[in-house]
Amino acid sequence: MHRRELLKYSILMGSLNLLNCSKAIKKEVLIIGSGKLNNKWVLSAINSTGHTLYQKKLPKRAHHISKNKNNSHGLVIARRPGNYARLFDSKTGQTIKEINAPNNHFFFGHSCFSKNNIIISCGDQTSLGKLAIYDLALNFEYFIELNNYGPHQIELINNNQIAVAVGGLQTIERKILNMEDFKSELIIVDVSINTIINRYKLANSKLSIRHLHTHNSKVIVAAQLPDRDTLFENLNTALIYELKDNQLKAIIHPNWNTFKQYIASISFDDTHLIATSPKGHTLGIWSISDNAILFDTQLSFVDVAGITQFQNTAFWSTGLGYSSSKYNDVIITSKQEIHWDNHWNTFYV
Amino acid sequence: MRNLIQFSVIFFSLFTLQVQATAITDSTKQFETKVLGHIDLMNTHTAKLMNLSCDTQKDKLVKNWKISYSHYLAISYMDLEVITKNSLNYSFSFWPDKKNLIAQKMRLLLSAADFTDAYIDNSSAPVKGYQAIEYLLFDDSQKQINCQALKAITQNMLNNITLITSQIDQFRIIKAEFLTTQREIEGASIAFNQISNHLSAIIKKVESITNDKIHEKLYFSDAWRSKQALYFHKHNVNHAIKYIQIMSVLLSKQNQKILQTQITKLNKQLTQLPNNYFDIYTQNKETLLFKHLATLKKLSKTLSNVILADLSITLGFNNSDGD
Repeated sequence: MHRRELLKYSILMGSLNLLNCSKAIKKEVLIIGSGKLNNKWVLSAINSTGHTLYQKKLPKRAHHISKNKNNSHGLVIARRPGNYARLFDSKTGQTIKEINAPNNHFFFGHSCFSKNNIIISCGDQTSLGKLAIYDLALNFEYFIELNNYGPHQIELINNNQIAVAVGGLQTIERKILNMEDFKSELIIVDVSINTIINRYKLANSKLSIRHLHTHNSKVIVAAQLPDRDTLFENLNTALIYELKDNQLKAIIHPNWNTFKQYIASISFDDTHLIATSPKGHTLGIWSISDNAILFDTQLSFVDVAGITQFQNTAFWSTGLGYSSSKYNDVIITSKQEIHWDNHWNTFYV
Repeated sequence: MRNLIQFSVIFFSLFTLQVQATAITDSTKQFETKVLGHIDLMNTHTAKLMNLSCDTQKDKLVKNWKISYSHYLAISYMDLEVITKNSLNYSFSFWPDKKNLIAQKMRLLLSAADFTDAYIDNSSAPVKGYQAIEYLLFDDSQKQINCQALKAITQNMLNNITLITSQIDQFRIIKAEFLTTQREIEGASIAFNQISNHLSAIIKKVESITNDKIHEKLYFSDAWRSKQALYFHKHNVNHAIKYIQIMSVLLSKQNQKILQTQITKLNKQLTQLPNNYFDIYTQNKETLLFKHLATLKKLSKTLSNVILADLSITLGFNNSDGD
């Protein structure tokens, strides 16, 4: 969808669209994210029409929320370089358990649930990456060493295999120390046998893999260009890659003009792939079958970042405090007080 | 009577809301008009470049190049959809030129037997726009101005400006839906984001030339061939100030005053800085340049803080590198 159509559908915002969308959502959904509200950091849940269901205060800024598909538990985790992780009940927002990062370690902002474990991307004082493995009640069990810097998003591929986006960037606080020679990779780990089973690198060594999504055992990663001074030489590089035939294959070249060679979140299902660029205030939706762009709009969603999908509906959030949903060509936008942080996740009621 | 009071309360509330709403939209529109004005002036002075004689009017060529470029700088750090949709981001300026590609590519261009604006259009970015013209006007290797090249590059720029102008209504700087009451805060947010981008870019430009190895990194400097890096920097800062002044009417009086104090300090520093970067050293003004950089950074940070406090607008909340 392009600008003219977007305008058309934006004008349609209102009760009629709420009605249309609520018809589309057959099963009610909870969308959970974190953000800033009145100078405080909070965990917040809304329903599919943007109505706030609960808000819970957090110790510091959070980043991603992962979910246990087998129950209503979620894990909200501190933003890099963060120190806390909180297991909570997604239905109520009530805390089940809150922990600090292991001694002399910090969290990178992402986690995932496997069948028997909670896995958190973690770093030591030199920012060397590890996976911190906890049981489902958030008791620490052990580390898996990644031997590279800056692990970021991690997602479950199947029962025990985890995909880890490793940016390769060594950081102190948020300052990058190895911009010239970082080595980014996608690492596949089998947590049941505590073993790295594969490492995959991108052809373009200037890109850093930061985000990924998994669906039906398929892995798609999103890269960024951290060194902005190399932009001109990397204008035509793809940012979105699929793990296929034992290599990372370029599938999508988001327009560098609009995406600014920066992707904050990525999500896909059987039919659509969505990526956001808050730097370009841009959201893109592509067809999974042929990677064709379906919806590309610049400067329409200010500071857009968080995305999630549910029953053929795409949801996204902005740092300005807006949430939107898109079902077919109907877009509904509503305003919340919260400044939404980078990631969203859907939980079912 | 009770109904009348209720009606008055509702009417007053709506009126207050409308006044506030109109103020936001008005400022955002003014911001947009200011940006459009710079595009118009780019057009005017680039057109003048086309009509001047290369042999007898070098001073006027330089003058119009400087004016046109200074207006381009007022829009160059913004995300303008009309520019990105037409892939014109590198058609007016090639910076930073870390590998001195401009000299390499211009030498190749000038060795070609014949070329037109269409030839330039199909060429790579280093031979397009203001830095390419600067090479023709100021590079030591250019004993006399290559008029054919100058006209071809200038015509290419004019073609691109005409394209921008013809599509500016289609690709508004602030989208029409952001100028409606319902979404006007998003429009204001876009304007503040654009100003913030502008400030960040000029801070980066100054940082790139305020280090110990400046002489090794000469190409990092903007307009180093013409020795006008600080001249353009002053224009850049003035553009930022004008934009801030347009949008800051939406802020509390107290925060307007805080911003104005910092702007006054910046203006004073600008008058004390030379135009030629190398005069910083001959006039022992390194300390002043560092202080100036600190003031720019402080203004950028203050702007972020006050728009969050007064308008609940966050700048770059989700775009921190690496997350």
